[in-house]
Amino acid sequence: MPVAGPADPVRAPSEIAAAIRALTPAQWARLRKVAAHYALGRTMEAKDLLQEAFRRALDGERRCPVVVDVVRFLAEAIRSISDGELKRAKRGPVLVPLSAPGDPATQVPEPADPAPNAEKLREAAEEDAEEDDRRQSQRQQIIGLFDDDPVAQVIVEGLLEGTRGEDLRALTDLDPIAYQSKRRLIRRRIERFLQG
Amino acid sequence: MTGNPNDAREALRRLADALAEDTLNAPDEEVLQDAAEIYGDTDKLAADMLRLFEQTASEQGKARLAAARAAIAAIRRHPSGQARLDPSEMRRRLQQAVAADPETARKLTVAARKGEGLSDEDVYGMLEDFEELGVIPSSDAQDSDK
Repeated sequence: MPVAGPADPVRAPSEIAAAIRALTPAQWARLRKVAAHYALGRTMEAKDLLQEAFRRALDGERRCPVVVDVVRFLAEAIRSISDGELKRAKRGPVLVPLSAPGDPATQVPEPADPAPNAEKLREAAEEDAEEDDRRQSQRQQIIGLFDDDPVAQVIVEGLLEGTRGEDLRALTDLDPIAYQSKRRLIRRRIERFLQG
Repeated sequence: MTGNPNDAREALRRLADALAEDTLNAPDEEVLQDAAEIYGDTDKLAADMLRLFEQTASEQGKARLAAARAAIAAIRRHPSGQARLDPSEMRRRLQQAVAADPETARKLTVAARKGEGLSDEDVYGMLEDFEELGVIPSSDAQDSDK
């Protein structure tokens, strides 16, 4: 994705909103598909990721340089949210009672010991283990989608391992056109699986 | 199959990155064709997505309005303390502040320490600074003590 410099002018939230309202059906379809991709292995669903990306764009939490396409900007927001969602879920919110400015000091209950007790640690470990099992299972399911197509399976396994570009194509012995066609087949099959 | 859970998480992330990049770079026609297979009518998909956006924008607008109302209500409940003081009272408080914190007072000119040659605005600004530094309690707190 293109990298904007810190000095690049940014779109105001109202300009982002106007750009979003002007998206074409193809652009909306792109966003929907990207959200589905980034829901892979996450507890947040695609629509929740989209909604959170809209919210952050509108309240100015994420700044969109004018040189960056709005669809790419939202796609990057979705990616970032799906990243952070995991970390936040593990930490959990810390709620601190606050009195309004100028209000007399109220009796604040002693805050709970932030160090997790054994019970909480055990619960968190169980939840982590469940999540990990789910991800392992999803990874295997995705590879299994291509049991009938060994070449596609090699590509998928390569993508999961982080092999990209020419290195990956070279593993398949496919010419560039056939390789692109295979990549499209892979995308469609995985998207159908995710929609499932 | 690897047994390391971090591997699965990272692997799915790498796959998502590759799929997303392919989708962002694919021609419109291809994206629409594939989306129609998965989601059905793409015009309806676009309309549904726009509705989701408008819903988010509306909820956010309401939240912003509620926050603005709350802020105005808070200001009405707690108007700025210094603004309510008359000039002589402000100067008296400045003298108190200077007396209470000789260390800070040494940084002021003699005239400023006495409050001479200072406009009401200057005095007001200095009192605000002293409040922020915690040298004197806020006017609200002083009022509530009375």
